[in-house]
Amino acid sequence: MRAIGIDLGTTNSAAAIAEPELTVLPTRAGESLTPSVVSFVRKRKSQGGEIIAGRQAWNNAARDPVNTIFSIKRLMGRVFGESKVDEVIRRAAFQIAEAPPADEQDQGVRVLLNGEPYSPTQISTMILSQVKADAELALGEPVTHAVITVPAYFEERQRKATEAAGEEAGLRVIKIIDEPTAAALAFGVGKEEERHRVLVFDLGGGTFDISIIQMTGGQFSTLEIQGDNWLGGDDFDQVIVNRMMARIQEEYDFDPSGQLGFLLKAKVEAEAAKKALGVQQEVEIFKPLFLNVPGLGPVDLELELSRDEFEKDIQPSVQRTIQLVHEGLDSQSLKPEHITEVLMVGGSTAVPCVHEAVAAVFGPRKVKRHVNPMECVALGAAILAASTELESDVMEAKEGAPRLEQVTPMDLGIAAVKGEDPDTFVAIIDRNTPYPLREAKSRIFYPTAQDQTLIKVPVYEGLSKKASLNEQQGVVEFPLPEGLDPSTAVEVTFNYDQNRTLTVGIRVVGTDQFIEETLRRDRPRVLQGTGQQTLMDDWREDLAPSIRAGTHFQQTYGEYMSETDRAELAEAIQDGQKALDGNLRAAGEQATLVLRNKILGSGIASQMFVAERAMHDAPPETQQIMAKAISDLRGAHARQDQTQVDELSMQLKIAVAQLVARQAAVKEVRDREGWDDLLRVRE
Amino acid sequence: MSDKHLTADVDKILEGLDFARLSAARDEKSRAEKKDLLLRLIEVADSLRALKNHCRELAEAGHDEVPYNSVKLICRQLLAVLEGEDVRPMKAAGHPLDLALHEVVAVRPESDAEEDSVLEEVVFGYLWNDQPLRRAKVIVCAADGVEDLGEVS
Repeated sequence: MRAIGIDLGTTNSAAAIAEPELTVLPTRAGESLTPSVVSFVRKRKSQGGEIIAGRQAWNNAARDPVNTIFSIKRLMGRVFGESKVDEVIRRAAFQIAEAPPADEQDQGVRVLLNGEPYSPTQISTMILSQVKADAELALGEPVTHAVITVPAYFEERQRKATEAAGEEAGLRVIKIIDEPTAAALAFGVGKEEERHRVLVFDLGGGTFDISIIQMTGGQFSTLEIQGDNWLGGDDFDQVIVNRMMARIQEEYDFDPSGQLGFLLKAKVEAEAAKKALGVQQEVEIFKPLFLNVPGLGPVDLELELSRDEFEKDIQPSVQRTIQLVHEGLDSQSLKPEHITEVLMVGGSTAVPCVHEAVAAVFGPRKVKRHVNPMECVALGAAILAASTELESDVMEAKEGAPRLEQVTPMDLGIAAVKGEDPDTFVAIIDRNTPYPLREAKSRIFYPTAQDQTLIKVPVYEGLSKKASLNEQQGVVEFPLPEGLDPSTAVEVTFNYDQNRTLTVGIRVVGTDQFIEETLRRDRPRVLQGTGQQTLMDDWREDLAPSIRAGTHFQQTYGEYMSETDRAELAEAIQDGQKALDGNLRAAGEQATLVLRNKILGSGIASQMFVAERAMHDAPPETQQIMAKAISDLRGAHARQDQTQVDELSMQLKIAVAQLVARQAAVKEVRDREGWDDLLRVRE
Repeated sequence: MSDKHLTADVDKILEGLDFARLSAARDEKSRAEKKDLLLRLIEVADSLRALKNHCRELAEAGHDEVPYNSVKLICRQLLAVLEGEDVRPMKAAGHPLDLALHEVVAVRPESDAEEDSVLEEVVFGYLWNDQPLRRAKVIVCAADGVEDLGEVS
């Protein structure tokens, strides 16, 4: 077993190990970074081809820009129609399409490779597979586990999507951690018991992020995140290229911007000059016969560039970074003196005026640059990977390992009625709250109608004050034996554990009426609202219906299951029954998990099951279409026509997703009309 | 301090040193420095090659005073020095595209050339000990029906 740390970057990715020595692993091309690029390479004189990732995909980009995917991280976990997706659509040469959402990770954004749709998770899987394969080549042994980093501002579904990509790439994901936290580990901050409040200033090639992390006694928690998704070192290079072009225009009265060879070489020279200006005051760019000027032939390029001139040109970008630093501090009511260290991450922080500007804000002694800024995120992930015990099923931190306390990236709360507005979002766990929570958070609400016999609590994650603009996580319903008076207090409690599982409790204050439901957000979206309901924390209430459902599923759909799935389902039913009979809680919980996985994860059998369940509330014409799709699928299966089965199965999956989405929309409207099941929050 | 104690102390210090790792680190550093020097030399080779081509054009246009042969010899001299260090030009033009060695910067239709063959090395590629020292930036022949995609940023 071997664990590595992976920095899954927007432009480049890197893998590192911490033992026997903290180091970044070279790729098969002998480089320290793998371009985060995937490309379809068509074969000569044929329609076929293959999908490749990494350096070779990068090399293919200009040959087939439409079939080369860059910066997939910008699309991870995003929903089609979001402004951030629109921004990528505007800038990308590849095609982005919409598809019906199928599950939690798969939010409906697709990129097309050779006309075939792939989810961002699938593209990330390809990049991670390449990183894993190169790491195995460098180490000479299989890599089994990984810690993968994500930006601190990533929402839950983006983290889940990244984790799923890692698992699909054949890695057991030990943990998904924030990039600034990884950087802090690499810089060795926070080992001591004393309290640190660290600002991570991450200026990469194309993105800029700042995070404020608090560390106390080895525990890390992220307080604030700011950034600009389209600001970075590429802008600095362009400034130098612009000066070269201006020089040629002035000297030879010729605009070289249309010469491909010139632009390529100029970019390389600009990068070298930028690096040189990091250590010297002036650089001489002297390139004999650098470009062909019509009528003159090959001409030289001579340009002297001082650090002052360069820094003057990039001032707007540098000032933008400082402005974002101040905004980040202000939003936490912090002053620069409250920050104990500033960690410089990302290749562009090597530019002197960047760290001078940061030092001017915080004082030079606080600004740390002693770890390679291009590698520190991967190195930090490797440190955490190496501090995890891999042998046991439950991966535990080794003694002395850093304890990571993460924070909720968004508010978590419920939809409630406020005044006459039934779409008010009431946060119960605020954004940036460290988790696992030390104690559950709660708020008091009131029934909205006389003799209310059902309490409905729709749970949302987001930052909008309107519930419907946030992301719904599920709905908890609490049927009551007797109606409630509108003056009765109802306490809604949220708890959030280390596995990012949200437990919602509803208590009628002054009575023993209480319900608790766990929202497992890694579960397929179609299951929302029918999640695991635990009444008075009784695991038996989960298991008994799961056994009944499993038995029904086996009888009705067993013929469409693989032999392995069928055998495992039968075994889980037996195990579950034994657990019920013998009152064996752990075995019972395990059996419940297996039963639900089998019911929902057994290929076309599960698809038919979900489709038939989804049809119940559908309009008659939709029911007819779905029934025909299911019947066709059964027929293809009976004929053992696998191609047809695959095709029909995909069609059915899409039809179900569309139906579920439509039903969710209808339900939302209906809820707003009859909002007396909701709770009221006092103004 | 007696010799005996001194030897023991030295042994103790030496025990703490991982010679294999130190040696590997030294080799890696030296290799990186050499690679850096070779990369600079091939930039000089680029310039000389451009000069040679320019001189040839002038000589062909009847400018006999142009020292084309001398420049050609200097160019060859430099390439020989590089070859002595196991550095060889890739000579990609005319060969099939190899994505491990070539970075495509544009495609162009060309009726006389094979699909995906390298039409032009915009930036010359070099191998060092048969591994890419600098990848070639190339223009390749477009497949039938693929239009000229022109330049890329």
